[in-house]
Amino acid sequence: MNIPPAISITNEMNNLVLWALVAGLLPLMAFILLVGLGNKLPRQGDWLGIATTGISCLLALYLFLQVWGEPAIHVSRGWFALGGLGIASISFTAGIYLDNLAVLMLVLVTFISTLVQIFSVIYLHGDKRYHYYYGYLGLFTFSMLGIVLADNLLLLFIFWELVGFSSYLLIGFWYERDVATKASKKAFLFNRVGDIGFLLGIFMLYALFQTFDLQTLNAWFKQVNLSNGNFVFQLPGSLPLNNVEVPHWFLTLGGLGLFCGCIGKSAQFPLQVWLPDAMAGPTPVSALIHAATMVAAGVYLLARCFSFFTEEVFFVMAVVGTITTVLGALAACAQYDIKKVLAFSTISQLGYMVMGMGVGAHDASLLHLVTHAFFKAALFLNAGIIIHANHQAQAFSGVHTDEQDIRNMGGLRKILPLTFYTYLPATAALIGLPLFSGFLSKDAILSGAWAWAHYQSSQGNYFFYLIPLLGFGSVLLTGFYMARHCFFIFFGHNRLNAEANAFRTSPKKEASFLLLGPVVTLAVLSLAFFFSKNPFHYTESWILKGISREQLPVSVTGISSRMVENIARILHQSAYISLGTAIGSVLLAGIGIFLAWTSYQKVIRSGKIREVLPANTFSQLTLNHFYLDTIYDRFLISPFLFLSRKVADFDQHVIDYGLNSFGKMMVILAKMIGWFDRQVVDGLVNFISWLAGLTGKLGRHMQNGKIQSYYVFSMLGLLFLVVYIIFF
Amino acid sequence: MIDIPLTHLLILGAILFCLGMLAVITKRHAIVVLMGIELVFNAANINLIAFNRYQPNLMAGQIFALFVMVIAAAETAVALALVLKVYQYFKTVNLDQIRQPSRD
Amino acid sequence: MNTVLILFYIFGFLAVLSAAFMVYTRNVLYAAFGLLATLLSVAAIFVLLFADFVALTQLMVYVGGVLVLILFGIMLSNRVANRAIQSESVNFWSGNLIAGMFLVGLVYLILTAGIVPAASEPATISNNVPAKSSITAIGIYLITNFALPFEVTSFILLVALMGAAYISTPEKND
Repeated sequence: MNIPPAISITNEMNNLVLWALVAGLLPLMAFILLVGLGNKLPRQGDWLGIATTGISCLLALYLFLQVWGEPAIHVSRGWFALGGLGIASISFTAGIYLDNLAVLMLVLVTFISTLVQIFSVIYLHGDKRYHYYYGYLGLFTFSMLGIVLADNLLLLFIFWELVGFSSYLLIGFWYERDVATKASKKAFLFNRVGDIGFLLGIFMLYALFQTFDLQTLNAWFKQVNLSNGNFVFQLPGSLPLNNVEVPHWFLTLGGLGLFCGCIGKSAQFPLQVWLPDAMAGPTPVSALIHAATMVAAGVYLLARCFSFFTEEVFFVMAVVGTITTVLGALAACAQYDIKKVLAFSTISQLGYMVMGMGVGAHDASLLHLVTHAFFKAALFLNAGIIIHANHQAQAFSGVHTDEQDIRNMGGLRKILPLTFYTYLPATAALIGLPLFSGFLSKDAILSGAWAWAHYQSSQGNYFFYLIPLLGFGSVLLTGFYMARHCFFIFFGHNRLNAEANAFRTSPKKEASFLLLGPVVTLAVLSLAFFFSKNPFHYTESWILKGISREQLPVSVTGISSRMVENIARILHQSAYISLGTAIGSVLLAGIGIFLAWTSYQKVIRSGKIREVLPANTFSQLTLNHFYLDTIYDRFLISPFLFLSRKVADFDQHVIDYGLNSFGKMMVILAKMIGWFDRQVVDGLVNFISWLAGLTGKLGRHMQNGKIQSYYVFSMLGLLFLVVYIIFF
Repeated sequence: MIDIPLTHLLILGAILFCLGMLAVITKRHAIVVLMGIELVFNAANINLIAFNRYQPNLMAGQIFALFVMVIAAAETAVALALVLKVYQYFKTVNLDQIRQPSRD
Repeated sequence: MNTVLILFYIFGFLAVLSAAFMVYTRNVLYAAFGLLATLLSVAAIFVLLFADFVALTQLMVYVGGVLVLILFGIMLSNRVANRAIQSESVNFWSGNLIAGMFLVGLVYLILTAGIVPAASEPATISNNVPAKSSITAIGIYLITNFALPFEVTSFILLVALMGAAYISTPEKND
């Protein structure tokens, strides 16, 4: 009942799966070697990390070519079993599932990981825990690949946690900095909060269907009927024995639980506060983990579990995603740190993806995931180059300010031209300008959202249109903050008062090839040509087609199939939607850029650029990220810490006291026994020796040299003799 | 028939003998020890005379008693000479203190 | 109850008492005088036992000779001039015990021995010897029956005299 029917696996499929396993395990091997003996390797082993990830990337490309468009491959083996003799054992399997989405993610993760590791050669040059860094990156890559390749939810959860742990290690890499350790703890803990819900969701699925395997679960969800408000699942393929009847609310709760995992990992509202703080880690780490891959794992989970969600869960998803988008975009508008702007931007884009999933635009979200990975990683690495150059300039000129503050930059367009030219395509993709990849995916999501609103409001409730409208609003905001970001950094004159050549590696060379290479590669991949033959219309994107619901067996139908199918139908029928969204988004982006330009000019002319606090309260609110951190701290964290202190006190005063008293009693008892031993037992022995001594002394008296006592003893002897003779 | 019963006399002799032995055993002064010995002699004499009273032929008892007295006198003379010699050497007549000085 | 028995008891008691005094007193001179009393009492008892010559000899030899000698010895061996000469006792309890046990044993033997006087031999001396004093009988028997012990005793006296004299000579200090 638990194990899916055996599919005949060809040799070739087996081989591919083995290659996938190798690709997954290579980074793990790199981790072990680098952490164990990285010190002793030449150059501290960075070549080992880059080489293994590079080989994994090549394997991933090979697998991509083999599996894309082909039927999916699923291989699983028995892993462990609970329960022993006599009890029916519950067995768990572990396996690898390769389909279009999996191999696409495989390529994405390994490719960006390789580029980031190449970038880190210069960025982290001379760091004293250099080999640990590459080791941790290897661990992260391994865990991320594990998430992507896992075929059942238990295995996925294990790698999920492992990814969280690697993120903890990497954010807190410079653990001498207090900021970094706090941020890494925060990231881990907020992730954990989401994981509670995730676990409950998994438990629900297991409780109903006794399996974790995604294929089996999807098979269950294919054949579902609604009766009396309950879902009735039929065992796939065989007689309708063991029909599982589940109330609607139960399934909704489970779906919400699964969504919680995504909220935690992908930094959705209300758990998005860890992502801005995670910028305390090295910039390449931010590029890899917090832009491209780990945070996308949540969206990946949603894609895999797409058929398990009821319509209510989708609605919640859409609302949460929209809120996140808007909050992230608003907060980004007022930030001054170069990386924080990008972090909030990531939050906003992740909100897009989740919103896309929520409105049923599953394919669009996944497309946005892929495009976002490339251009966001490009932006982060770009920021890394700028920070590196700033650092160098400050070291040369002796000025010491915050090198990540965009108010201290400016005019870098002339000083670091290549950086500027790579920055532009990535930003354009982010804003959603045509001819760039981001345009395609954003357009897809917005069209999907509009169609969803159309469908939902067919009952007459027009509030549903708020969701796509807010999505459009955040397009405007995205344009605004990214343009502002660009203007502050690259335009005007440099406010650091350092000479131009201080920023560059040498007067001729702007920056090392190892820094620029990855950035250029990723910027190029932000162009639309790589994702679709027609750069204006997303439906012809080959990627989209590959990862669409029809192609991916896991996402076929599901319990919300009615809604999703209908939305797809609406989209298909009304072509005007996609045209409208395209034009609308471009217009709004343009307005945003224009607003940014005017506000920038105003600030520059007024000269009050260095003001620490922004002028109006709304900006303050957004700068401080809506004081979410403070709210959490006051209402959740402080009471909890208070409680834990009380418990610690109890433990110390009551339990430890009890134990100490017990220990003291033992000591007292030991002393008593010692006393007894000394007095009685030793006393007995001493008594016997005293007795022997006494006997000796008595005997000694018989020979004391005094003749009178000799006389006494001889008389005594005589008496005894006489008595003996007389009486015996 | 006879005035004093034999057992009474013998008991008297025994008592005196024991007292003399006591003096020999318990006293520290050398000459007192000699006095004790005299007492013993006297006790023996009483015995002899008592038996002589009950068997008067040959007067053996009394003659023997005379001899005892003579010997006792001689012995006392020699003993006292010795005691005085010892006193000259050891400067004490305390029996406990008269001993060979221990070789270390 | 006749006078002899009563006298015997008196003198016996006196003898025992003074002997006890002699033994138990600390003062050596007192002890000497105790011995004197004992000897006198014993002499009296001898008289009661029809041994007059022995009694006289006792008085002369013991009291007049030995006791005086002892007193001389005490005086000459006395270091401290002013203080009375003390003689503490040692082995007090063990000595008393032994002596007591001896006494008990002897008394027991005496009482249970059942001494039967043997049949008296016919006297070799005829009755024409006046029996007022025993001295004649003693004299006769000394020469006749007990001549050898007599000679030997005199020899012993000579030896003792020589010995005592020799011992008492002071060392030549050359």
